[in-house]
Amino acid sequence: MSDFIRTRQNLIVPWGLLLLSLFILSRQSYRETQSRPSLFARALVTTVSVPQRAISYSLQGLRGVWRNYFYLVGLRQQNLELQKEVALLQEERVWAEEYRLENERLRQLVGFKEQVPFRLVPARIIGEDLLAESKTITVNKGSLDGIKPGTVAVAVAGVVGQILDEPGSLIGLNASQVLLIIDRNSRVDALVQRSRARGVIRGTGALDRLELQYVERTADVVAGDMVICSGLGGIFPKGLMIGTVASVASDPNELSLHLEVAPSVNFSHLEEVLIVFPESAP
Amino acid sequence: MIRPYAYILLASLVAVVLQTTLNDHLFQGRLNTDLILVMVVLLGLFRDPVHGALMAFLLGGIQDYFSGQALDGLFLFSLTLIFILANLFRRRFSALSPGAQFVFVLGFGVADKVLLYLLLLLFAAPGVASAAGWPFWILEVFINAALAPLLYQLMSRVPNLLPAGATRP
Repeated sequence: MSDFIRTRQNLIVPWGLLLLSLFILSRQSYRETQSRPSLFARALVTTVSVPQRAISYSLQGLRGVWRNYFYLVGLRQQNLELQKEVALLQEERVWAEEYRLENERLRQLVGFKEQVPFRLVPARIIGEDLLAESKTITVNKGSLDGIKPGTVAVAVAGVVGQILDEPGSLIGLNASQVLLIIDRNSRVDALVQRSRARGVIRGTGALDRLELQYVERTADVVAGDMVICSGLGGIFPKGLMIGTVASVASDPNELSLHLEVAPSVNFSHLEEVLIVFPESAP
Repeated sequence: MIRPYAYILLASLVAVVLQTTLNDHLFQGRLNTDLILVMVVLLGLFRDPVHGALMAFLLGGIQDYFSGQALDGLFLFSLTLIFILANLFRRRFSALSPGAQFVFVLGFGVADKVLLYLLLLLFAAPGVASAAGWPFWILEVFINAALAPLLYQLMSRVPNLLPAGATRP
């Protein structure tokens, strides 16, 4: 028996692993219930987040310097003496501009924090996911910061996503993966603010488009209506902004309206998010 | 025996860190270069079937943890299959030259894109599979192929990871 395996291990091992992976793949398709992530998965996210954080912060700093400094280096050719002065001033200006923009964003965040009845903790985005079909981000807050399954992330403009603590949205010690509302697996119970028509917001995978599903065909919805979280489902707090209705289409053969919603958050320019904690949370 | 696995685990973590941070900054998230795929193709072209398959399986599992919620086990399956296919060429063709490495990674890159699309179509929730980004796919595949000779040079310097001369016909 052992000779049989030994002589054929070059076939048995690769094809056995392929069958095992096919089994895992088929078992988890159309996942209705999620398994808990393993300790290995959490450790992996935590480990990777350390260099991710370092690279992400460095790149953000470099990008600021690149945008504001190196484009102006051509001036040196015109006047070297003047350029020395310009370079010094420019460097100071770069950092001042970075601080000004950061300050502006933080002031917006603080202003927003005062308006909502939750405790909000700022978190920085340190990584994206590897698959174009998925829409998740990694933030620099984890279980040590009080992140739990079902924790919601928002921006000043509205809802960003949620942290599920399941494969694809893991919680590490000091980092977590946020499932964005634009991901196709994301669902948010929603209300049209003006008419109170109810539906479910589903991600489309596109950065600038959501679908509002299951809204009755007779409901009063027009383009430009604001869509907010209904609070049902217990995950997303009621009243948080999701987006505005971009288009309304009705098919007489269907029970629901076809509604496209433009998210209020600009997902292509996200740098920080706010993590929502209940007031009583640590 | 265990050391090459530790190296490949470390290399995969480095690749994940680079891909999750640099892709967004360099390409505004439009392109996803895939260093792990390049590693798997090189393992297929140079490693023995048993240890190479185990390494490809490990790499697929790690890539799955950082690929969102589209489909669990997606890269576990696709990278193991890509390894097996690449391994079929191991004793038939030489992949020692940079040109050959470019061509092999280009070919398997295309195969990988088609495979991922089909797997998402078959196993993921409706609407997840989308071929809309195919112009970017082509660019991604070319970038991956261009990185192959560089990655080979790095991997061949790691002791016992890519046994030299394994692909001589």
